[in-house]
Amino acid sequence: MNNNDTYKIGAYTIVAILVTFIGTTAVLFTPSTAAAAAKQDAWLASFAVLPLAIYVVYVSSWLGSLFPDKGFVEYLPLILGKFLGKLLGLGYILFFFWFTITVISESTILFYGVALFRLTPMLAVALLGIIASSYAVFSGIESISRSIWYLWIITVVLFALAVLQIMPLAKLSALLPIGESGWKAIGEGSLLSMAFRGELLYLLIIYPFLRSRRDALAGGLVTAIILTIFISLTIVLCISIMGIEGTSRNRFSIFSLVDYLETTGIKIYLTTVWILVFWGKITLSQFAVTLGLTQLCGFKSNRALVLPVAMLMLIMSQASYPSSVELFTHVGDTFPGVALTFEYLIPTLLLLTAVIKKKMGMLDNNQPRQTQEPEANQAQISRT
Amino acid sequence: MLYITAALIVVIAIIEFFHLIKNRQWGELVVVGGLLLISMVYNISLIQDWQLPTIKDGMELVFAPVTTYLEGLFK
Repeated sequence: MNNNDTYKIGAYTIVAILVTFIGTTAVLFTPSTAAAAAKQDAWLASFAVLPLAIYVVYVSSWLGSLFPDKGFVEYLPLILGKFLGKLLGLGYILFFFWFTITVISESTILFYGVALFRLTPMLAVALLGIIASSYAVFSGIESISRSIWYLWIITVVLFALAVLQIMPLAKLSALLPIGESGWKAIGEGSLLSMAFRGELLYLLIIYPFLRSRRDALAGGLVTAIILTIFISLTIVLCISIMGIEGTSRNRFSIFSLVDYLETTGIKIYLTTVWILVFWGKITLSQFAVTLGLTQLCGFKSNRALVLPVAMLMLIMSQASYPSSVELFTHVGDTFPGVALTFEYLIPTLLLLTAVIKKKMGMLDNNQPRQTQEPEANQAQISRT
Repeated sequence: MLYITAALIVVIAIIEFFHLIKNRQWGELVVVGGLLLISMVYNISLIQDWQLPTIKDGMELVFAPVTTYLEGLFK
């Protein structure tokens, strides 16, 4: 939790946080599903959801700016009343909990899928990951955001290196004729992109720690554009090198792409990038769950909850997804529906209710915050 | 490996309970106890190969029809 009074996240770091949070899985899993539905027009699916991404950024920034000093779960009761607000807060905690255990499973399945690990028990790999993310959550938002900022620089450089080496192999004629699949196929191919782009909702979770609404808006919009370019570029490269069939059959398309290169070792630093960004994504999701639960229960510090929440996530990720087939089927069948509800509809309704209540003078957002930053963060701040 | 995670849950419980009882944080004690209890139950279920319902099943039950509806819009 936070250094809310002293440390504020600026627009550049917001971009780093959101691109890490969304891009980690979106770049990895979107190409196969988009190519399966929209064929050679899959790259257009990513552009099709850009207006939706901008919409989520606006809704999140506007809603957050109505309660600049309060956490998301803290102000839900102010909008909906105590009972409904707490219930919806619990709903969001469960959503982020489900989200985190899914990401933990995706990360371990990726590490085994690219043969980074073969004999190590999956639970041991997940345990090491969750120890690293728990340490970051325990240290607070300042440590998380600064770590992600450095991680983001390394990620961009390594990702760009990989893409630059792959680019000469691309045969863009594979993308022709443009628009042949029709808008319905592009729409179907964009469903998972829509779900991933809705994760921009994370702005609401970190809003109290942001410098200003302007930073939130700028950071969110730049993220939406960067993600669209990243994902479209990845899809273009995948389809133009591996073909539509090759892309749609491969869960980790970008990793299969580097197999076409003569240069060896590219896969190693691409895997390094994904280890780093998966750590970032798991940390941010775990932070949202721990912070949300702390705010829901009205505790002063989140320190006591970090390890129990981490253990529960670790065990539930193993209990929920025994195989990769089950994980991918579940994500494909469920995520667009979950995203439409939790990332688009509910925030919109919350914003409408809050704005109407504010106009009618029924919104009391001057209640003091219940939660405080943990001692570790206070010590860190006093040192700096 | 599952026995190691079970042992970890016990170790975390001892450390957390000692700290929370000492500081008289009863609310935190209840929540931490609940979370660790659920973790232990699911850990045992993994060891014994029991099929307990998970949050994944709940999400699928509620939101899979919404996804099917969305996909139907583009068919």
